[in-house]
Amino acid sequence: MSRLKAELGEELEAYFVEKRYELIKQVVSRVLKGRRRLTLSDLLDRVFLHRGLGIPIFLALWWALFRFTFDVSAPLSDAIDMFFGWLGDMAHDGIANPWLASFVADGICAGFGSVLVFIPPIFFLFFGLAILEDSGYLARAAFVMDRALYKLGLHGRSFIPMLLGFGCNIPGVMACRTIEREEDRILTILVNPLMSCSARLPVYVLIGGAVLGAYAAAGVYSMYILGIALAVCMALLFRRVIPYFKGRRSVFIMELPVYTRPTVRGLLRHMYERGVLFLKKAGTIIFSVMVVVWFLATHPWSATAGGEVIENSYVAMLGKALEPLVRPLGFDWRAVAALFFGFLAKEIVVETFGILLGVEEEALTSAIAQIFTPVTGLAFMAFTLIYIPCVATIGVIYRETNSVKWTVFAVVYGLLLAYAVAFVIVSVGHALGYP
Amino acid sequence: MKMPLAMLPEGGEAVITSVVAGRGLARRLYEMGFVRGERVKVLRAGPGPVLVLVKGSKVALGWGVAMKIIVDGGGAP
Amino acid sequence: MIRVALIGNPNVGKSLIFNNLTGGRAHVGNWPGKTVEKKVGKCVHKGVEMEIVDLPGVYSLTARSVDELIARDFIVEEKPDVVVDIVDASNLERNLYLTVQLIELEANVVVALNKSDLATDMGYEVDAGELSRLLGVPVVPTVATTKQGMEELKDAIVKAARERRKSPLKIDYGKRAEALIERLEELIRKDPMLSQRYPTRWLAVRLLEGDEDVLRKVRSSAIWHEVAEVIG
Repeated sequence: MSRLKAELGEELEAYFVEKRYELIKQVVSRVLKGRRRLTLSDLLDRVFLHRGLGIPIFLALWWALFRFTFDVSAPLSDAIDMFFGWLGDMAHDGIANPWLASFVADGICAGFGSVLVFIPPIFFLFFGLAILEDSGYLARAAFVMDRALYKLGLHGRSFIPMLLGFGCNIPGVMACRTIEREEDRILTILVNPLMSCSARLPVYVLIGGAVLGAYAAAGVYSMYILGIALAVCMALLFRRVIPYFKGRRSVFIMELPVYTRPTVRGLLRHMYERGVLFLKKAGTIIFSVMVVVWFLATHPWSATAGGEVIENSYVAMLGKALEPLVRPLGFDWRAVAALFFGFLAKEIVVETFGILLGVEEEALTSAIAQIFTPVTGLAFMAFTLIYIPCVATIGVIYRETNSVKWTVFAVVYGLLLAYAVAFVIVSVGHALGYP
Repeated sequence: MKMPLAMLPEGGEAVITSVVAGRGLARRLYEMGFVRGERVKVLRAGPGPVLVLVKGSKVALGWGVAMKIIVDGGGAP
Repeated sequence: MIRVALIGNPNVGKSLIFNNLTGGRAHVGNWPGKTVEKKVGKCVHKGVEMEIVDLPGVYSLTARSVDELIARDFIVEEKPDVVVDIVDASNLERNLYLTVQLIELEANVVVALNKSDLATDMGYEVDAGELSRLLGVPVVPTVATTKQGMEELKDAIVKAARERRKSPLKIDYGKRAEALIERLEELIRKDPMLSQRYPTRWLAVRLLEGDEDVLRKVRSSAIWHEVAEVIG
């Protein structure tokens, strides 16, 4: 063994680092004058890192971010939705050939619309997030929340993405970038879709309202809790079972940078970069899938009378073919079809039921009550929560993991878990004597 | 008196004497400035993550990590 | 065309400087096979064209984490013409650790001493000229948020690309270590595959330190057996 190694033994690593710092200290002593004094940054930390107030302050800021994002972006999203709806109508009226009209209106316009409708919330959310990040506050938030998360198998840095997921899984997944270790990053990305995004809410409200009666609100609330519980379980499970995640966890060493005033340029840049990236990768997937779904929903053309009679479409055939699989859960082919469309964007599940049941909004609730029981309704809600992330999210997962393997895994485990949980709900419900 | 950094009270200052950790973590800590002879000050003590001032910057350390840095402590503020 | 790499600790203002230099026109993608973002932009200064690559923010070049590996590999394999090390003036000591490693790697370093305004707020005063003299590399004070120092920085980059000076800075690792380093350097020089690709002193120090990535690179060379004897 070299004398050096023998002498220093374990301290070998430290030795070289120390020598470098020795030189640096000499340099700095000749170059730097003055002493560190208390700055605004330190004062801010007294507030944001305050033992008692730190977490509440964070939650308050969070709430503000959400409100800001969704309140400001909602009218814009609606406007975009209406615009593409109008465009679609124009296509219907303007194009003589009904097939072409349907393709342009319901395929292309709807496809574009579904991608572009995400832009306002994404851009605004990232703008807000950029403010928190560039100012240096986000590091404080991670510090404050790290304690709790460590025990749950997640990284302190996982907290922000998880919280974002409650609004929309897309920025949630994208925010995982700040997690250093690739393994931890991928793990957080995989469990993020279990955070119940806002698109699923209409489904819960519809089904819950229809079959749970007085317990509707509790039922909806329970979905959020279920999502969190499952995310935690899956995180712990994956860590234990999948070799890839088994390694040592990212250790929590994080610098808290000095607070800085973010520049508008910097903020807009962050917002722009992430928004454009989303459009490019996720957007292409969403768009293509929408076109495919349009095709399946409107063909065979004559049988469906140009997309009017969905029962005769390929989607319905698919639904009916898969019905046996979901019958143990108490779902019928319409549920399958609705879930299938939910793959695009979870909000669509509601509209799909409307079309398939042939009723308008007002009568929808009672119509739903006819095909679901409280137990199967709850199971359906859970299934919607878990089954697969919407296409846009899948697109983003692919973009962030840069791996087909993990994207496929995310989809598959979602389906399996959804089925399992729904089955458990139905079994327990039946065992307790409910229909 | 030697103790883990994690045990230093808030406001306490001490000098690092050694780091008892695996190669990767030790390396990382050294590069962040946690070298032998370096003075550190505890800004936020545990339980839970610890915030210290080292080489002029604020660094947050997980509790486990802070337990692995041995300091010669003592000055209360 | 000059190939420039931007590097620095996280949170030093690297993105802002990147945007200042490239005017915001950047091609964003991923480093091959990784989930880490790669940004490349262009800049034209007084007739000289520069391609600027934004390397991940790292605290050192030990190549243990994905970010460090990407940064180090880029500098070692791609050999950019200039490496701009962005140093946070308000956090000098720790930031200079990376600078020193870059100098050991024999990169053509230009230091951008950023956040000078913050340093002043904190009560510090940094002598950029003296720093430059001691490190043996050009040091340009900058305040990225107000775009101060950008022109001087671009001048320095062009000048550095043209002059290709190597910093004379050398760290004395102590008698025993230096003796071993010299022996290792002799061995390394015998293998052109290694000596032409990597700076010999840097490689020797890394071998002594037990750098896994370097050990792997040297293990497949002809001199490995002798090297192993020296480092034990």
